[in-house]
Amino acid sequence: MMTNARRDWALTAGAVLCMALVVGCGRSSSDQPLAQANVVDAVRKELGSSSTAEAEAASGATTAATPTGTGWGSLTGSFVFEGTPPAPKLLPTGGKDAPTCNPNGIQDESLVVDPQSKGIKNVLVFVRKVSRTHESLAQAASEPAVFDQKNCMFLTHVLPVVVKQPVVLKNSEAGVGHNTQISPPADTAVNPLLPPGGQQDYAFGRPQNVPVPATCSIHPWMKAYIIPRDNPYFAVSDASGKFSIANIPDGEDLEIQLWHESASGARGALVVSGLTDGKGIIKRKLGENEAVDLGVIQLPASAFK
Amino acid sequence: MSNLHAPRNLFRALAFLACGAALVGCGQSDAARFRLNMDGRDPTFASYEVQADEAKTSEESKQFREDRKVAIANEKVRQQLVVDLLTAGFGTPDEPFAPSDLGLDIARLRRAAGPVASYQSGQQHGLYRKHCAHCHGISGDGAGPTALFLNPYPRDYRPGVFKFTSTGPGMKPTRADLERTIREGLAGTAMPSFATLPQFEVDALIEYVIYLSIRGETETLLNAAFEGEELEPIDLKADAAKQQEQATALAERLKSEAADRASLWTAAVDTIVVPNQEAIPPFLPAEGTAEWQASVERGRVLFRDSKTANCIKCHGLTALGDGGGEELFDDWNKAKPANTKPEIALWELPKQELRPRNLRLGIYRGGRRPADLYRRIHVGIKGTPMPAAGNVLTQPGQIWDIVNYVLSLPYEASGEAKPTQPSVAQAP
Ligand code: HEC
Ligand code: HEC
Repeated sequence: MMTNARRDWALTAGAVLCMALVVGCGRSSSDQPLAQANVVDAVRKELGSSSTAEAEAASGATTAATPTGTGWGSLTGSFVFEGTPPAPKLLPTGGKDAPTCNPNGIQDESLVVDPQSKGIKNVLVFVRKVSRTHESLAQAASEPAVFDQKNCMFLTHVLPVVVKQPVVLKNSEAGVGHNTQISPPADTAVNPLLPPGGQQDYAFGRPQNVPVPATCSIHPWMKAYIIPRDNPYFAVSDASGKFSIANIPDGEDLEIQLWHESASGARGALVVSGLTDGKGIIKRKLGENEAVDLGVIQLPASAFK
Repeated sequence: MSNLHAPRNLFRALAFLACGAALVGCGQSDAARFRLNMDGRDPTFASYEVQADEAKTSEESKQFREDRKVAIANEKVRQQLVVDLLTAGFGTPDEPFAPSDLGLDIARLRRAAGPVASYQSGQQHGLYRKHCAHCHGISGDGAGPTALFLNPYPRDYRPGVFKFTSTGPGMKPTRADLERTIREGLAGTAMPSFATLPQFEVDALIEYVIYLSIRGETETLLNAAFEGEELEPIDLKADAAKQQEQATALAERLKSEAADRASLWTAAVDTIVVPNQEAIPPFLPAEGTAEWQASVERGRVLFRDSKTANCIKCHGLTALGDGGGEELFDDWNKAKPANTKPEIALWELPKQELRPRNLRLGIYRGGRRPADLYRRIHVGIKGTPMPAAGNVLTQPGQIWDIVNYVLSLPYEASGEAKPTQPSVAQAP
């Protein structure tokens, strides 16, 4: 005869084990939709045939916005913290690689608010799709973007680049080695060792809608973001919270994405009531050569994590 | 007495009930299905709920609820489109398919796919489900029933990243790399050796791993592509011409994404890292004691030098793997939240830490030949913090010297292996 306690234990263990089994097999697909046979057939019929020219036409038709304008507008604004901003924080280093890495801690850049203007730094603003690009922007897109580190911090916290633009991963320390790990989804991941003074060229192969973290595994407090885009319409707010994007095609439906590392929306979407939708997107069409000023955008503490 | 236990009894009863119900329909009964990739998505939409509650005015709250409704509807359409497209492009676990331009061998895929079966001729089918699926999952998501109990977890093939390759930074493995993994296993992990399988079965399994990986990456790309779009379901009631038009546009999309992924597998072969052939030192004391000793010494210096290889930063002064002290994660785990919400824990494996290797154990997952270690140091271990040092160790012989040092570590007198002291002088 089992004692009560023993039986108790066995039953609980059984229940837990059973749960574990479900976890294992679980992750089930039962709540996911079944394939629709006729759609599958229709699509598969296309997979063997069709030329690439058609492919481009078809994919172009579904992805590009329909152009209607000919002029160029602009977008400006500034992000300001509503209420009392959180006090600046320091990230502990445990004394690693002191004094190059400040042993008292490294400034936490996950939410940087200017004490005077209350401007919010490092808000990323980008236009998701455009049908045309101003010629003045082509040059900038081919110049190397430098992604540097010093005193155990990345010098740029949010860096937007264009796909294929050369990105120079650099270490400007005198005596401390780093590594820079970038693993963009479905793109070439790199993790070069960067000794003092070292550098390594890199380029993204495809655009992303969410910034890709760049980290150093030796100094785990180091984290910054790079976002590759397929158009050059992006900006990052400066220390006073201001941003501006020039030469945006007018006359077409634009989706302007707001992103901040610490925003409370899904995947960093910065949701502003009355301005964006639930995904942090402003839908807007610029009038002919229109200069849109979004003015001061007040962000309450609840907009951030 | 029994009253005291009421809550626990209730829990148990419920657990058994729920469990029994869940287990029915679990397992590999009839037509197996690929699981949708929900990574990074919150299927419960809990976050929307929270936002709605926290929003200040009821006006705002209404707006969020509206948005949520739209988001859920859009998510349903998205899931349906993804399932339809992937089924068209890749078939099902029982009946694999691959568009011809992906360069996948359908005969091999058929041998690896499907339920386990053997024929009178002695031919085996269902190789993947027989040998691999209980760890790597039917969908190659690394989350088979056994996965929860393993550390490290089995590889999730869907991101298209493989740790141990002979190819350049960011590149896919070669077929030979996968063959090494399958034949030799990954020492020190649960990944077993399948050395006894005949060549044609190994070939079928390699093909199937590549297939699952291309399928998984294509799924991620489709998800990303559909992300910002107001999606339109395929109208089943529309006339055939309209339906076919929609299907054509989607098929092209699928084709270009999948072909793009597949081309990376072909390109990898051109980036194989060929170990330097000029400055090969002797690898065993017997081959030339003094020369070997000198090489090991040079390797030791490089290993510890913060201005070049800097291996001590993670592996520690004495290479016990205790150099950093911080928590490290590979990319598969990095993306997971620190504490998995219970409702998500049901389909996501909890976050798992990764330690720099203790190099005194002499266990090398990516192979123990000097050339294997050379490549490990040159290109790093992909998807993990272990960096690529090939761009830094450019002098002929430098990497070989470190290989020699690493290979000597398990034999070094144990008294020398003291835990890392923070005593290494650092130049300012
Ligand atoms: C007992 C569980 C288990 C089984 C069975 C298993 N694997 Fe693995 N496999 C693993 C684990 C664990 C890893 C990851 C090890 C690591 O991360 O270092 C892995 C990794 C891999 C990798 C990735 C190697 C790399 O370079 O990243 C491949 C490919 C692979 N397995 C193929 C297979 C194939 C094919 C089969 C069936 C013939 C199989 N595995 C069976 C546990 C298993
Ligand atoms: C940023 C931290 C870091 C640095 C720097 C680093 N490693 Fe590693 N190393 C790791 C981690 C983490 C692993 C385990 C990865 C895994 O198996 O997933 C590892 C694994 C290894 C392995 C085991 C390979 C195998 O096949 O199992 C060797 C050998 C190794 N490292 C050598 C080196 C050498 C030599 C250097 C210097 C050139 C170095 N490491 C620098 C983190 C690091």
